[in-house]
Amino acid sequence: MYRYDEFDHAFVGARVAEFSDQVKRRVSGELTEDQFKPLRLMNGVYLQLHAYMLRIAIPYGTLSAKQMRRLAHIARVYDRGYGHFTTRQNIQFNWPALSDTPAILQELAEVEMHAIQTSGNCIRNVTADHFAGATVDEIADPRPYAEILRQWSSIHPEFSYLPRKFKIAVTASEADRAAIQVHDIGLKLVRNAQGEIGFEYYVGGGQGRTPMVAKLVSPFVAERDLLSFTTAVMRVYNLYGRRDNKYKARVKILVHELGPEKFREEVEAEWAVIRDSELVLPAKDVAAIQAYFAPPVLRDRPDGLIALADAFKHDAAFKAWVRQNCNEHTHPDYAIVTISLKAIGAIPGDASDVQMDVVADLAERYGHDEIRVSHEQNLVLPHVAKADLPTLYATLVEHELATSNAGLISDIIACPGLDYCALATARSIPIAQAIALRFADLEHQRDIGELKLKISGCINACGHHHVGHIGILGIEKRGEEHYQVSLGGAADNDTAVGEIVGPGFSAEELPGKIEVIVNTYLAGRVSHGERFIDYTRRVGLAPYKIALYGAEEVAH
Amino acid sequence: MPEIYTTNGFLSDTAPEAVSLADFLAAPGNISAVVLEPDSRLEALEPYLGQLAVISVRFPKYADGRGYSLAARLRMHYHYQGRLRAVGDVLTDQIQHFFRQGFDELEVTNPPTLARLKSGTAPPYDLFMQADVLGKETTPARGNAYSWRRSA
Repeated sequence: MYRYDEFDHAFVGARVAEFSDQVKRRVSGELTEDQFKPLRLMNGVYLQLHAYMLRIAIPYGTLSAKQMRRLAHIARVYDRGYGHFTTRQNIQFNWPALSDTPAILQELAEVEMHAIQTSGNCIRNVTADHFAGATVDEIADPRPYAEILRQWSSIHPEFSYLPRKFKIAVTASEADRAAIQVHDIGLKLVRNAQGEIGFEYYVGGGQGRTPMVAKLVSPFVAERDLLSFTTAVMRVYNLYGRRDNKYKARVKILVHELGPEKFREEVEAEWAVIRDSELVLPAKDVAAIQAYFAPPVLRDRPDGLIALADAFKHDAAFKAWVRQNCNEHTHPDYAIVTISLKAIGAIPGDASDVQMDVVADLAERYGHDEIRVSHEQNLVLPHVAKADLPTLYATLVEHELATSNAGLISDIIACPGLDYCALATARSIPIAQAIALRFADLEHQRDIGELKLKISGCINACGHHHVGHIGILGIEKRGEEHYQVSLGGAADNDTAVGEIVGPGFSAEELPGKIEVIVNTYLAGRVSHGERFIDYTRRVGLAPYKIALYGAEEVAH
Repeated sequence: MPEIYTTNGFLSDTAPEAVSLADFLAAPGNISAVVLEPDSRLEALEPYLGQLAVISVRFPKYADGRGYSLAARLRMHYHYQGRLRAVGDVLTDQIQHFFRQGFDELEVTNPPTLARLKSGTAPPYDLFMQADVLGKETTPARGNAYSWRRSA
């Protein structure tokens, strides 16, 4: 992973000093809250419902054990003993005192972390596939490109005061795990006929109140052109993106209003001027960054085959966990392990200080010192020898980190909702907990199979409900929390926005209604191999509507 | 007369009187200073860039960053060689951005910013992760313009 040198340390140190100064100016009254707001946001400090919230960047979701331990320490000392991993591979602390935030940023800087650009109308944390560098289905590790974009966009003189926030995601495999088509810019590494690396370049995806799937702006932007092309996209957006209405200010609206063709023409015209400028990215620059991401040396561990077969014989729960939470690694003796932060009835994405320390220990002992945060709000150990899985699993079980539900209905994405967020119109967390408890039986969940359920507590869609196979949106209706259900959304290669199935439900009704939806699928699928999303795409919403509202209602 | 902040500190304003883009285009005559708004289009100005000594770009709100891209286009697309001035609500934290985007001078209206610039307590930066708009190495002491080239 990327390591800071003297320059990076000085760079982050200067920002900590600057932010300390800004906090001082705010406290003294030199800065009004309005003037302070964009500055604190640039450093990841939000004002939430009950307190300030600090969002810390985890670039492309990659962490070392030492960094994870520091996060645990911050949770313990400055917060209430836990942190919340987000859908943008970051971590949030919900209860820091504003006056403590400079000290927290100092603690982070010591372990090469920061909160720069985790909020504000700038280019946010660049996210990537959480299986990057370990999975069998990628053409190259996407993280060096994410790191290049991170560095290039850090405190960028032109793009720090954009019309609205700007999110970039990078993937390198057919099975898109980074949801690139619902990002402002989505990049997919591809090779052209000559075998050269470039990017399928998507612009204008997003969720919020106007969900849109990104448009393919170029089928192949060469590696050397990554920064010049991105600068062209950003410049066109910075100049022409709407600033009159914050709900129409994302680049998706510009692409939509201009039309993809006209948007492409504007970008091409800008790019023509700058493509051979200082922004050219030479292969040796890429190689220099790639060196930081060299895969760990994995020695052969053929003993894993027997160890697993042996453990499977007497531990069915372990076997189920391996099947559900472990993925194929490029080295056949190793596995990619997903550590579920979705224990049944727990808060999705939350981890206690003790749990963070445990994961750090495991990463050090069995995982080549690497941890990932997934946008699905789980943790990942990307390089674990199969032979070590039984011991690793035993430790995870002790700390409620071994729920075998990766990709199943209880692996829920949920935003913080009305329990924390000033924007929310309804609670998300208790809904997630109630649904997980309703489907607590893991065997039943496995029978249901892959099912992505996502919950947002307001129209801003931080819980990605638009792209949930089952999406739930909490709204306020006559003073009551009310939940709209949409079906058929997806954030993979076939990204689609779900369709609202009908009138919404109360919090009490909802878990039962989700069960009706799932039972409709179970009754209708042709085989276990037809996933919920496949079935829904095949038959549409009609069977669900009949089951939820009755044939007569639907006919009207 | 407003004071103008440059990389060499405060100077008194010696710029000729400026007119709006619309007025300028209506009767360019031998006018040599123009004021642009964040939504100004540059195309019509192109034939006259040679006669302009000072182009001012207004920043009515510090959060509106369009002027940074106008500056980039003036310098990179049109190779404008004259003085480029930013005018408006500028926070101390943005000062370096202006100089890196090709501005030469700032007409600052924000009182706290003015006070800090005058007392020399605005935080200075000399560490950047990318080249400035002209592709200049802004931190020669630290190596090349792109941070990753330090190790390349």
